[in-house]
Amino acid sequence: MCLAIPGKVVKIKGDSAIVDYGEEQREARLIGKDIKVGDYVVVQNKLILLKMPEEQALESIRLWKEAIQNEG
Amino acid sequence: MKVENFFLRYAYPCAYILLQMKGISQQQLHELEDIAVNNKYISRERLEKIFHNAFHYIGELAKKRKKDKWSLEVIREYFYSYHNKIIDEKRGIYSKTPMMLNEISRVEIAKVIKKIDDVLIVEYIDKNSHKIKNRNVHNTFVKNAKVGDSVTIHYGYAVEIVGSS
Repeated sequence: MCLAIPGKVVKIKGDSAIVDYGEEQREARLIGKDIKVGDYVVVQNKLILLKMPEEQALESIRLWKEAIQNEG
Repeated sequence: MKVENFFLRYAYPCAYILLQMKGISQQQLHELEDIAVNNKYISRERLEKIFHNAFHYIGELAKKRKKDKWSLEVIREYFYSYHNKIIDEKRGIYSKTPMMLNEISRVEIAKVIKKIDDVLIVEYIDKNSHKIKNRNVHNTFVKNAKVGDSVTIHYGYAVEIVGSS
């Protein structure tokens, strides 16, 4: 499986955003993206890759939780 | 480049998912990056163990082609087309996942439109919407990529330069 988990932007400070994953928050670089608080984003290695529509993001998060439970 | 290193460069972005699923540790992730970036030795057994899902499909492809799963030809075909075919046919986990996640899981050819420090902003055609999309990717494996170059992208990484401006 090769899937990303989206997070919700809860704060923007300069060129960085704080992204919330429920259990933790991480900082990510914004570079060239029109992102605002409340948007869902996909991050890899502290870089925001793209913005994701809310409906798809929530479905992805649900699938992730399911996958982790199955792994456990 | 050895076939093991070629495989790892394409598979490396998925190691982040394995980390999130606690399949590997943060230290193992750093080690994999060092091996991938510097073309260091890694055994086939270790790669097959870490990326067992990919090798399930690579084994399937090798059988179809009547070749060894570690032949460069098979590994190339896997990342250049078979991997996307699995996603497009919605096999396994891809049957459930939202379109946009499947989109970033595909290996695409993209054009570098901007370079900011170690990040490339690339443009590519989304297979589903046929629209031009852009994405930020790390240039970790293609440090000399420049605006106008074509690169393969997988998730958040540019993997290979496949055309120059």
